[in-house]
Amino acid sequence: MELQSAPSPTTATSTPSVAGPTQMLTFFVRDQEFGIEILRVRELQSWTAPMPVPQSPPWLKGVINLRGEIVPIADLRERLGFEPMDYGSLTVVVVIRVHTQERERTLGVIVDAMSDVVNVDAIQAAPQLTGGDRPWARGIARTEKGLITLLDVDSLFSSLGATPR
Amino acid sequence: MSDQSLQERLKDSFLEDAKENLSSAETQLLALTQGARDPEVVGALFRAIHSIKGSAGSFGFHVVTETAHGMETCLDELRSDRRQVTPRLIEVMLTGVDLLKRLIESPEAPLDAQRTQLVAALASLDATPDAEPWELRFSPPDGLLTAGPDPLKLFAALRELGPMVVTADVSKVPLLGAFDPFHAYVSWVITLPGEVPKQKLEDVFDWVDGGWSLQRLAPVAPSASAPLAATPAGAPAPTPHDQPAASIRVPVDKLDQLMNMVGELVITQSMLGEVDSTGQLTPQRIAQISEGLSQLARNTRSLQESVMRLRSQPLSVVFSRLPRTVHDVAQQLGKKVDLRVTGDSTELDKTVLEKLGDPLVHLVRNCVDHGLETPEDRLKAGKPKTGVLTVSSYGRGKDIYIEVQDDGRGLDEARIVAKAKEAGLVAADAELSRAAIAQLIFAPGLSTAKAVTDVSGRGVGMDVVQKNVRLLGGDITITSTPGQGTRFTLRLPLSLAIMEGQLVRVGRRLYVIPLLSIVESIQPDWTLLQACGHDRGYRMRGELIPVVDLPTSLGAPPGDRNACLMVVVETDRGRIGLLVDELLSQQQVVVKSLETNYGAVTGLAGATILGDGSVSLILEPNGLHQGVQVAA
Repeated sequence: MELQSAPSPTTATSTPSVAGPTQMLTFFVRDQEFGIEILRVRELQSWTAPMPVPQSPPWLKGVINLRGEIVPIADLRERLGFEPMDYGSLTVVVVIRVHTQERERTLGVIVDAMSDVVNVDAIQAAPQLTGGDRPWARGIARTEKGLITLLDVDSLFSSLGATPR
Repeated sequence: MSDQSLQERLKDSFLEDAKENLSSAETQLLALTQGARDPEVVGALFRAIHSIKGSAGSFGFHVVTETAHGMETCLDELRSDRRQVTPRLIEVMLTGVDLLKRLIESPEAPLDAQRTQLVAALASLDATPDAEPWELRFSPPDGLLTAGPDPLKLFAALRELGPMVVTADVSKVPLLGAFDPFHAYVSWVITLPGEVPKQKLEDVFDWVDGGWSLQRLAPVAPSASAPLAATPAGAPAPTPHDQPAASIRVPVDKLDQLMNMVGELVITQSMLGEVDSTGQLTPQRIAQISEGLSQLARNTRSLQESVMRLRSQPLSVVFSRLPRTVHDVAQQLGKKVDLRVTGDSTELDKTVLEKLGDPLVHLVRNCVDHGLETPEDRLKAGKPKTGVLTVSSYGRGKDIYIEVQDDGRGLDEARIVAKAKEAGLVAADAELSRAAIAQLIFAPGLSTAKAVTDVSGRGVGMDVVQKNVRLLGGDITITSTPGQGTRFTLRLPLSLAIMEGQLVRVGRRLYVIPLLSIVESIQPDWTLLQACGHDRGYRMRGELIPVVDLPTSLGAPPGDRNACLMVVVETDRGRIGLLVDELLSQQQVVVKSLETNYGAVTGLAGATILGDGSVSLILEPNGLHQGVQVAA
């Protein structure tokens, strides 16, 4: 077995804006609509209870069996610092690819509900509204439905809290 | 498929073939050292070098072809009895094999000097060993072309003296615009056989006014093999050629066996298909179906075993490296070693095998370096001059054992203890058992090598060996008898992918404990459970063992005190007890990596998927034990 240490927290290397038209998968967390670049999305799964892993952060709910692959599941609500919510029939797990410095990993992200797939012409850098930094916001996209925050999943999930051996 | 990738693939297969041929050549050469004057050995040696030469040519490795050609010529003479096997010839050939290896692995490495030396060494094989080849350096002085003799004539005269190797340095030749036709820009290094009289060489250059020097080359064998034994510090190690994508050679009989299994599976399937599924389930049909299912289970099990066998390779893949290591180390240290290898047909998983090579080579070097005495010391101790190093392997249950045993002086216990006390590894007044002393050599930072030699002091200690073996899921033990020898025993799992597991319930969830680590399971008597620090210990038959309360450490509600069980498991540092809520079945589990998508977790060996598709975590006793220690 190859022993790979968990990645050290990556410094946010994300580009401030994404050029050109792209597509986003959007979903709700709390009452806010967020988006992930559609090329990062592997599939959608309905909620199944994961197997908890000891020594993991509270937002990491455990691991599931995705057709023979062991995939960790993270709660986006809790990761973003919102209050936890019970999982229900609308709860969806978005299986995405996360790029870390070393490799690509597969991760399931729990969201409140799916919304849409939208075409985006351009994404602007996220304004630092709150004064504090929001490393997880990769930019703001203007759509006919309003403004949608594009998540930077790479920096949001650069470390899953596993202790490097 | 594009031409490019076809070319790449062919090249990969060439590289693989070449490596195989080289290691075969090495084996044959070492067989020759042991006095086997067998025409078949010589023939095999010749063929190995010959096929490298042939295939290297077609892939543009011209330097390899040239080098191999020189060796082949010499071997051809050996084959047709025009030449005798001498120790020197074997040394030169081994140097040649090493050189070919490096040329193939890193085609860009500057190895011209070594090539020249090899050619010279080959040419001078017939010469008396003390007549080292001449090295003539010639950079024409200014004015040679106008006033001196024609350099071409000089070379012609030299050629008459014997076979020579000329290397030209053209780096100083300027661009055409700056070129002065009356100036000689080229300089040469010429190697000539050692038996050419010095006087004759000097005669040739009698008319040349300076700009040349003559000296005997340093003996070839040590200078060329030293860089292999240890890459000089500071110099970057030659970057090996990019490892081709992992591939494996599978003997046809294994494939046939697999085909048979699949055939069986098809038969079972058709048998199940024939069960009439319309109508009611009569007892007879149920019997048919359950018969079919149990057959299917057998088929699946043997299919799984066949597929696993595809991944296994014989230990000879690794063991074949050992004779060369022993030969080199023994040569360097002036020791006489008789290496005896047995059980090299035992098969192991390819991954395990690949990672086993370096630790094993290190162990063997260690035994020759530290374990075996010099011939003089051995005679004094009343032992035969030649030391015996035995490397053997055998399978037992689900494990493979490899033993490396020497009949040397055994561990220098006093020295080890002194060193350990110096390094603060044990208390100054500690009384240690013999086993505990032996265990100390695996401690990091403990080296009893009196001086850093080529052999030891390569930055790889016994602690690294132990670590590597542990990473493979095995362990290493040592026993030593002063004056009689040392024995290392490596235990390795047959495969990493599948293990026997004991399913246990903790809270609502199921976990797997590796069956091999389990010593026993008991119903704990709560009166024997005592607090020690933050943790608890359990007094079992007079021994206090640490207890890990799995429900607590895995975040489950505390279990029912009266129903819970304690599983006693063996770890590196003794036994520990694991409290579980229930013992369930024992079954084979497929180990899945947690690290692919998540990361390493102390106390977990990985995850697995149970029959119902749910995930279960595989506990790792050593890590759990660590957790106890940290808390205490």
